[in-house]
Amino acid sequence: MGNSQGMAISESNDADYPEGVPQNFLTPPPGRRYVRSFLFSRHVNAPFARVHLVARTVLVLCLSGALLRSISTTQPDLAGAAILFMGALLILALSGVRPGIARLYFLLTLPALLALFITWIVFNPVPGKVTLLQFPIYAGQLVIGLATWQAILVVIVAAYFLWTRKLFLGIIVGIAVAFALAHWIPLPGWNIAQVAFFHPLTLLVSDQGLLIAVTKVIGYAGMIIVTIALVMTARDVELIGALRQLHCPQPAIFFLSTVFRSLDLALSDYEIIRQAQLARAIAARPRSFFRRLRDIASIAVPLVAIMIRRSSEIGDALLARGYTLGRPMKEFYESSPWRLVDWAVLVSGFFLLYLALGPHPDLTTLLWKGI
Amino acid sequence: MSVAIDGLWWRYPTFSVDSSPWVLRGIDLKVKPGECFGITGPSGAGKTTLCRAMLGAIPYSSRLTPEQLPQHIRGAITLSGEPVSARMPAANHVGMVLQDPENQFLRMSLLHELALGLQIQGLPTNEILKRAYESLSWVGLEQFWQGAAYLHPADLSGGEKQRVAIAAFLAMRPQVLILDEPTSDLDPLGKREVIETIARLRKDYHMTIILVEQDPEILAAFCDRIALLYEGRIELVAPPHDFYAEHDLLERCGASVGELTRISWLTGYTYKGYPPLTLEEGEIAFGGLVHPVGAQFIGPDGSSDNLSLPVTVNTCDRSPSRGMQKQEPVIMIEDVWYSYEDGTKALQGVDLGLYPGEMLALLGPNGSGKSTLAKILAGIYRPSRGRVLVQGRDLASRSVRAHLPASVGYIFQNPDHQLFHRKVSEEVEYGLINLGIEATQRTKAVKRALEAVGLAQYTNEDPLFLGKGQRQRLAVAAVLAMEPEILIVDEPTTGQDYRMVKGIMALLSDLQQQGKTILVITHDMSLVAEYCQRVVTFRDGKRVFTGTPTELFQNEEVLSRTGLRPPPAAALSDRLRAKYPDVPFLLTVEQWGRFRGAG
Repeated sequence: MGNSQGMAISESNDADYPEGVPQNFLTPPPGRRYVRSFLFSRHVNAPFARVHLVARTVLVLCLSGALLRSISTTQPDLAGAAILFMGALLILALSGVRPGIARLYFLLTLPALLALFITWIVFNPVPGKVTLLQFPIYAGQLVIGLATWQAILVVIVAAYFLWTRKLFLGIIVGIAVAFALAHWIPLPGWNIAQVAFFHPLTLLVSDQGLLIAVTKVIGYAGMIIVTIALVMTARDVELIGALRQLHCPQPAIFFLSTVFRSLDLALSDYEIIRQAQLARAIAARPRSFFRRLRDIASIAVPLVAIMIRRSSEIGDALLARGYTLGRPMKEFYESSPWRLVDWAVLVSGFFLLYLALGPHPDLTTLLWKGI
Repeated sequence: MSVAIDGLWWRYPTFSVDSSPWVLRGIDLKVKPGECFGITGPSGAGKTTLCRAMLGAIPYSSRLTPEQLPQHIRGAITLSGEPVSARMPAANHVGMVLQDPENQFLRMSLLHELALGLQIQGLPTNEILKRAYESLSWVGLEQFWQGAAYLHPADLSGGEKQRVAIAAFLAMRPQVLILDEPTSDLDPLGKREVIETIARLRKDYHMTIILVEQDPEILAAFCDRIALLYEGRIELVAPPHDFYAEHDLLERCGASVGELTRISWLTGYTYKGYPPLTLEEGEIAFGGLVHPVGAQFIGPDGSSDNLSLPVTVNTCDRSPSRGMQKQEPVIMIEDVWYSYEDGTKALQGVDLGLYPGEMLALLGPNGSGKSTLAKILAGIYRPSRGRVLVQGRDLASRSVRAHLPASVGYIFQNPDHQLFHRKVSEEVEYGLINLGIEATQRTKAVKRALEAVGLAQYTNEDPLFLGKGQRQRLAVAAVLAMEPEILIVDEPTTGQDYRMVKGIMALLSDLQQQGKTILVITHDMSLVAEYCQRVVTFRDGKRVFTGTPTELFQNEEVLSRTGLRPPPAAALSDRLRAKYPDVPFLLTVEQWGRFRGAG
């Protein structure tokens, strides 16, 4: 059989190979460096893609499990998380993702990770050896009454709305001004009643809180990276082959592969529909949050209509190939053989699983003691 | 018989108490082995339903109970003597290629797409390999065998996709291959590739082919017989020459008819008593019409001009483009470049001006940059480099782009992509709300727009339940309501029948008469010849040619570079001018009708 670099799928016996049929159908097409996967594309010879899909999935799950263990709130392991994160980066590098796409994903995940860091710091007051910042936010009681700062807030928001017909920035500025004035100037207020609700909240930033926040960010970033690597290296052929080897029922396999194919079409339809919305002046005026939600919801009308029309044709296409529910399908260059490298990856996965479920390694403490 | 249909009636099941109307009404057809049998007719005539019945998808996929069956289907279909029943679709005997190549790909690699039907049949691996390679060779795509496991259908061009779809069925060795409008979504190059493939299948493999088509040139070139389907009934079955001689019937049913046939109907000149179907026949038939000396062009008012000198009859006599170019352009494009995220250079230094009141066609093969340029002009994309001025405003400004729909309306190819509401009036109002137009003005604008497209009586209807032609007109109304001065129309006639094409083009023509500037992206050269004053051709993101349709259709080098072909009326004129140089260059059927030779 010809060169099958980049695609480790089962090969037929050369003795039975049909005459006159070139044996290069598993060789990457000339000049082609990237091949399409579930999400975007990957390098044709990506090392991570040569590992069996089941082994890849096990590795990603186990690595994620180990990362989850390392970001435990009670016993955060920054060094462990950092080492596992490096492992995740290595997997991404071996997955053959286009550098531009990888950069784009980093940029997209950065705000999410930053938001995670901030919310953790704000909502999880963890005491530590050193307190960097302590600031009471909520006393645990709701005060019902009138205050001057409320009037200031309403005036600013109303004035801003009358001036610009926008709200969001007005609310932000109003809160900031009211907050600053109330903090620096003793503004009068009239309390009518006080109701105990929830527990007091304090913004507390300690060395331990920071350590947990940083560890969590690194851990979640690692999980995102390996998931991207898995999705970007997987192809429908591999999924079908792997499910077949796992003895999944044929209708389920076929259903999944058709769903993935349809998703591909739905994504391109979504793109055109968004463009059609732009052509109908959707960006002409600032839109409220609810208006934006309605705009997103209105995409469903054309998307569903097109998917229904498409599904009818896909059904005909299936029938035209002779497919009926439950009919078995012959294996054809889909299943990959299980090789030594897959065993190695599986063993690595189980080691990571041990780190996730076994005694806590706590590399940070070990390193600290060593220093 | 390869296919025999006897008294076939069919109506779709509904969820309501009322029965749906019969879609097929007493169809009787017999297709001989090795025959290429054409089916044509207007949209909604039941062509696709008939194909689905031959495939066995009807009634199989409707899941009707034995008690319900007689209420929905009557008659019988046999394929090579075997009945197609509700329990057993005919997939092993029949292959069916659909209009949209995207919808029929079920796998994400070329190798597995070709193999799918054979895997279902349970053939041995080596037999699958052999047949997959053979079928790919039959459709002339054996160069894709190397790396077939890596090639995604989206990596192929439109024509290649359709040929792969055909190959996937050829691998299954069907007795009958049904092609349901296989070329309607393709550019001229893709169309030619598919046509050549069908011709090869006929010539080399003597396959029984049932070809559903709107394009009369394709039907006439390949079919032994053609059937006219109208409102679920077979109105006519005849060989091509006899078929296109049925003037009254074809006109009454709104069937698409070739330009040569129309010229014959208008002038009365025939080839051996029949309308000519090929350029060779046309040359003989209309040789008597033209004459080297004294040929006359009859003007719209009945006046005649002596054309003893070479004369070109310009199509744009209503608003000549040369005059337009003295005015300030409404759109000015200067050195515009655009690259997609994957690095594809869609536009490379394009310069162009669009003048008020003109209808300009953007032509070129798929992927040549036409739609990208149109989307830049509509403010959907921002150019990577260069400058675009629309009515003097620079599109570099985000605010200008956001408000652009008030000046530039973009009508997408598929109306289903642009209908967001469940009520016709709300659909038209959507853009106006986005532009911040007041309610009273909105109501008036909605009424005006719906009246302009002839949908005023459907104000409260659900757009999803309108016919395709009506949905297309609604999409136009939704854009018109915003009262843009410039309209961009992307493939307005794709997949539509003759009457729908005429309807939409008449509407655009009226809008042009009202002063709108129109930019049309199209592969339909007859439309270009008949309606456009100026054409711009693209290839590989570069502008190749700018001029009038007459200049384009006489420029063989540009036509060859851009894969375009002149419409039959122009091609005939070109041929006759080689013999009779004094004959003017006639672009359209209408011009041929007005032309009178000395004979």
